Amino acid sequence: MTAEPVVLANSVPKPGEVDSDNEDRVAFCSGRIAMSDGASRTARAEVWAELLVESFAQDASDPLGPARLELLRAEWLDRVASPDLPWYAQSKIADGGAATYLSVEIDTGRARFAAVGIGDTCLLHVRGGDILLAGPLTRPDQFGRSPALVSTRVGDAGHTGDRWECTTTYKNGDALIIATDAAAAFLLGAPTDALQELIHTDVLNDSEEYSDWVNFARSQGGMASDDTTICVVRL
Amino acid sequence: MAYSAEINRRRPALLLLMIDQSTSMEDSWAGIGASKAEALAEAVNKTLSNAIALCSKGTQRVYDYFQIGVLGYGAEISHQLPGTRLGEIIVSIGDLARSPKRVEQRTAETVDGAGRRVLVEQPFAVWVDPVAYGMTPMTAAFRAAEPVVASWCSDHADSFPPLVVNITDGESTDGDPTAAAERIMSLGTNDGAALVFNVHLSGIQQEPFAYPSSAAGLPNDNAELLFGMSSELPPGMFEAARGQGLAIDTGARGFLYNADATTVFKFLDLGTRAVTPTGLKELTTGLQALGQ
Repeated sequence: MTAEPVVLANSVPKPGEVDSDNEDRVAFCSGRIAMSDGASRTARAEVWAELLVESFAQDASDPLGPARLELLRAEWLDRVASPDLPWYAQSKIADGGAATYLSVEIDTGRARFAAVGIGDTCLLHVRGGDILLAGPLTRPDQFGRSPALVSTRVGDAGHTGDRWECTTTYKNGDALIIATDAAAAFLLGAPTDALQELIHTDVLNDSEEYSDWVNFARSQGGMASDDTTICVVRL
Repeated sequence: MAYSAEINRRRPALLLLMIDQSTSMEDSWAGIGASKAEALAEAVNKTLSNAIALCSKGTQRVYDYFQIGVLGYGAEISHQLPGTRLGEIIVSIGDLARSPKRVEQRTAETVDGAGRRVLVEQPFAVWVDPVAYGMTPMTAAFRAAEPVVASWCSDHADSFPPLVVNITDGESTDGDPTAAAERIMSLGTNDGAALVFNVHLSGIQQEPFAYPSSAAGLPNDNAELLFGMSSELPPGMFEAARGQGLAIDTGARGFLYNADATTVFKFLDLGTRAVTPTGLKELTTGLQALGQ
């Protein structure tokens, strides 16, 4: 039996945008953590991202299960569609929304965790500042502009071939870092100190400090100017 | 580096279309049943809709990444977008979305999430109707565009430079438009000179010329004239054109001659993507509808 994990998370939108423009979502509850990055060129991606993470964390239901996925798709359409919307919004919604997905379920009894990922929202398993394991992507140069996505389109199973899974053990004192693409790419190429700062300080507890950290990483570390969400799980 | 300004709501881009509406546009377009005027209006309306989709997230709001004007030239030089008056040729993409002349419901074939072909009802917005009457006063049209571009550049000094696309099926009937086009090319923003592209539509099946890098081999004086007043593709558009599968050489210009309807639509699509924040990047990675 290991201690209950401590989960910290924070998020900032792209430069010049406000919180309501942010299409990243993260949710955690009782050892279940999920993060999703809504594809901003698609329709109402923030709503879709929220449905995916809430299904996993709050409802304890795998959103990628075929039956559950279709229910969530119907729920998405119900939330975003309205006959009052102008023609261009209706047209956009007809094309659908899409988002990345990453979930982690922690079993403190057996000191194990199981992760599932679609796309470029990534998990890093860190011990003593070293990355023991990462996925779905493992190197900064693997990030591109066309990540795998989970779509709202009814019957779409295009993401299944891109599913990444991992189950492994951990030790007390390990940490998991979950991050959307800009931060994930940055952290996969970052020195040990940067990882340790996120894990062992209160950066993620204070929105102002987190914003400063992101601004510094963008300006000095070359981190891409995107919605930036990081979650640290202290195991 | 020129032509690299980030396009955002604070620094929108400008796309200005100039459409030939002379009598000859009534003739059929090579390879399709419709007249050139009908097919071009269809292509422009579809392009504008796609541009709006690039700036929409499925809510009332449209992100004003760029501004647009459509100028017709035939019996007269006239603004084609509803609500625009002389001196107010330019509208934001948001205003454009909110003010089509009408929205038709059309049945279109699409592929559903399971990969099946299905017929769906889709809204089709119309801003530009086909017109084919009068001469081809191309020089006057460029002269009318010049102060619009000059004023816009003065108000948007840090924006991506304006893109002017002239679409015609013939020769100018009011003299050589080269000097007027070159005056527009001499304008610009801190990010580079204004771009002038030219598209020539063919009434009969002829060898097309797309994005040539030299005038060698062009079929006649009119083609050489239009080539001469066409800007070189900036790097982002060059890569995106290659991303569309086109084999183009260094120095390729924004110029089509004897173009068919599909090629013109792709050309207009390239232009609208050039003035949206990530539009061209999607083409260079093969990503179409989805992206972050």
